[in-house]
Amino acid sequence: MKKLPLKPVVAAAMLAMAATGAMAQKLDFGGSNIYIKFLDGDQRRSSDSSGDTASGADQGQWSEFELRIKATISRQVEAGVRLQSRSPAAYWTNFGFNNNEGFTDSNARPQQSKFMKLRGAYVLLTPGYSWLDQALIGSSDWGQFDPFTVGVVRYIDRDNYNGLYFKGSLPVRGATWEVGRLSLPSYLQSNYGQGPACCGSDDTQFNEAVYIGQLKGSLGPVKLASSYQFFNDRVLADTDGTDLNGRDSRTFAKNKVAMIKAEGSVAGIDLKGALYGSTYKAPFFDQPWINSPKSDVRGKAIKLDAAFASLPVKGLSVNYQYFDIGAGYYSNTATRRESDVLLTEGSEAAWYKWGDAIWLGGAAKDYQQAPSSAKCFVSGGGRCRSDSGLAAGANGLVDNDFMDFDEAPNESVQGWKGHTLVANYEIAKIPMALELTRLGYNYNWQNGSSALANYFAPFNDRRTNIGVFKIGYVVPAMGGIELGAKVKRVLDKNKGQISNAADDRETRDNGYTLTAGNQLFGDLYGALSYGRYTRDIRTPGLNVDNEKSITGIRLSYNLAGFETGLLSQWVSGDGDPGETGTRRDIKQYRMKAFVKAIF
Amino acid sequence: MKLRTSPLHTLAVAAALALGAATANAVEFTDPRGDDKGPGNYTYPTDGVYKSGSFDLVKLSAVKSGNNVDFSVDVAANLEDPWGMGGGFAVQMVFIFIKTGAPGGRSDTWTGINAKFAPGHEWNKVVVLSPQKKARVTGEAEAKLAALAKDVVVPNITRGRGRTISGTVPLSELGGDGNVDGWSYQVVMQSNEGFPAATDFLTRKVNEYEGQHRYGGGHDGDCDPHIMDVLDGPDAKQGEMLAYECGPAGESKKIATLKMVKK
Repeated sequence: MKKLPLKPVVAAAMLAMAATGAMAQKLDFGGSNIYIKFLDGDQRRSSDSSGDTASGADQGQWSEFELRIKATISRQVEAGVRLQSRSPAAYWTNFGFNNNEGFTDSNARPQQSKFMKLRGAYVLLTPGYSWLDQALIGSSDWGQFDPFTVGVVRYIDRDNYNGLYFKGSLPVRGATWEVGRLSLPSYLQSNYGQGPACCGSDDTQFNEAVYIGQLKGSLGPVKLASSYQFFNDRVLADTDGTDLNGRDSRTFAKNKVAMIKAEGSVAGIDLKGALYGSTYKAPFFDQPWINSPKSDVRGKAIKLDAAFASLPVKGLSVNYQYFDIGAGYYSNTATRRESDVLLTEGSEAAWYKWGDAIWLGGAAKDYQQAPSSAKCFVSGGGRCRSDSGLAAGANGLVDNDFMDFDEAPNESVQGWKGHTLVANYEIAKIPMALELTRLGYNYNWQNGSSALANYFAPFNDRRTNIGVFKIGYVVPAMGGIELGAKVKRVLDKNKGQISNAADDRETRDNGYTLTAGNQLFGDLYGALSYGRYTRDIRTPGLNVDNEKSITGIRLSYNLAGFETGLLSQWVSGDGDPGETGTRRDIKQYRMKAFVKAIF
Repeated sequence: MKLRTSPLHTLAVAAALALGAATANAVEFTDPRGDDKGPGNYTYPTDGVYKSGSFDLVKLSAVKSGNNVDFSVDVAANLEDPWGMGGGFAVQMVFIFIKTGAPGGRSDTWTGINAKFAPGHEWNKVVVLSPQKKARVTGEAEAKLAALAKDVVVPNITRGRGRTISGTVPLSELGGDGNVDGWSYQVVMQSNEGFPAATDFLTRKVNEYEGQHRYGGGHDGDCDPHIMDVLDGPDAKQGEMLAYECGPAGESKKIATLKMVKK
């Protein structure tokens, strides 16, 4: 039989194709890491669901592994995957098996075992068309949009939104368009995806999405951006009793949000303005636990900023912000955490979750403000004690779950209105900053909105003043000893029901923090801190004086591709966190350390 | 004639001398606003943390203070720390290239900047103002910059306040004669990338199209300068310095060429 010379040709072609593929494809594992966490504390508590302070754990050791892969497949195609062991409750001591060793909970949970999980996957196309710059299919944190509209979501248990994102240029220099379709997780849908009445669910929830379009451009020296988004929450609407002709759906709830913002400079003053409007329509659903408004509501939000950076006084800069966030302003995809949307540093974090034994020292980082709907963290006496304007059990979307005490807690700005002035001044290498914030509330009402009764107390007459002064100096010794001091005062008054003096409440937070830090040697930074804080509560029936000191040590050690950090705190004081009328000594020791190898 | 000197007069003379001495050991450069576009058409990443003006260099100052030199760089936007770096800023990364007066110098830089220095404009030290911990920066330098790493100087403490990023380094680490007003400088405005590419020194890439965390307007290869702003000088025009040319396969045909600026 005659041998055809086809085989070597095919082999050569295959080799050539393989070679082409190998040359075109580049794999990047940058950012992959091993993260190991250590908690220790004298509450001696563990959690079956997740090893963190918010989940109720103050002791244990855990490991997580994250593998990031970015493949540059061709000039036009990139793909990425993020795999991570989802094991926040897999204590080192329970050996990593799935038999729940050491747990009283008989149902093995995935987070108690060292299972790997797909946390994100995307394909990014840059096809090079004149009308389309890029298309993203899959996971993103959606930080391309405004925090008040579609904001970043880093809810660790559910990871990022998935969806479709397209971006292109407009036929005006520098102008762009963006369109997104975000598949909305059930827990962000109206009534937690339960439909219009308690407590059903249907298959339509798996195809629900928020659609958003955004335009950006410039008009002379002014930069402009605007967006519009809508969400239609649907349920099945079969009326003919047969599935043979398909199943109909109907919309029972709608959320629409529009935004326009502008920024530019006039006479050395940088100006920014943003206006948001929202509507939410849904049949009345009278459950306290739902995360969306109970029924129809509309609202607006306004932010105006002026930055004076070129003042005649050398070293002085001033920033001013006016804000008016409607009580009924609601976007179900607004940032839930990890965003600071207002100029103010907000409430005193040292009193975060005061009343909860595992949070006696509060949070070690300043509050962040998030535009999601309000949530109450410590209820008592028919209202939210940690935020006197909120309803007891207010169940909005601001997220403080799965966080440790060294992280920044978040508070909702829904319903806030007021002014913030921040002045920075530096003289003789001594930087100083002064913040003054005056807050009123759009939920200052008497027998207020039933649609928002699951967020805000029915009677409010509330004012808050915040004053913060910070000063620092680097002593030119030992390579620089960094000294810092901060004094903060927050005065919060709420007369509640005007005709009822019995529900008046005044909270005065005063405190100072002193820190000293030094690069002890090339790889190790250390800092000591001491803070003393008081919280005095005045009500017609009870006066409560709380005071505590927090002494802390922070260490940070880095090598190339390796970092480790430690924060230990000792909390001591006395007070009446439960507002029971009985004063008690307060003591807590807590420590968090981590080791991270990045490769 | 006997000169009579009042204590006030003596104090005034001493103050003037002190002021003169201080002035002689300080230098300040300004850079035009609104030129944070690299060679002219670069765009910011699309994520909301990259605020307009964040990479727009406005001013560089170097002040000799005892045995130290204080560096500060002003940008055209308020500094923010959305990633919780702890130093008052997060998205910026500043390289201050210096010719200190000491002999020798380099014209090369590294991947991730993708630029060189023109003949006669060599540098011999680069001060890095980064929100990352000092040890991370020096560790990355040692791992990725090879022989250049020994000329990287990182302040023990780098802080951002208002619109100013500043850090202090010992004069002994810079070498030279200590006359900061006689030195030459160039500033490269980049962005702090916590998860850089394997070859990049904590820098953010410039691509053809801007992405959520990537600059746009350049090239997907490493033939374009990954620089948003540099210090303009009488003989150092940004558009000319950052001009580049790429080959069809992304190879560099003309590399961006920086010049030092001197008072």
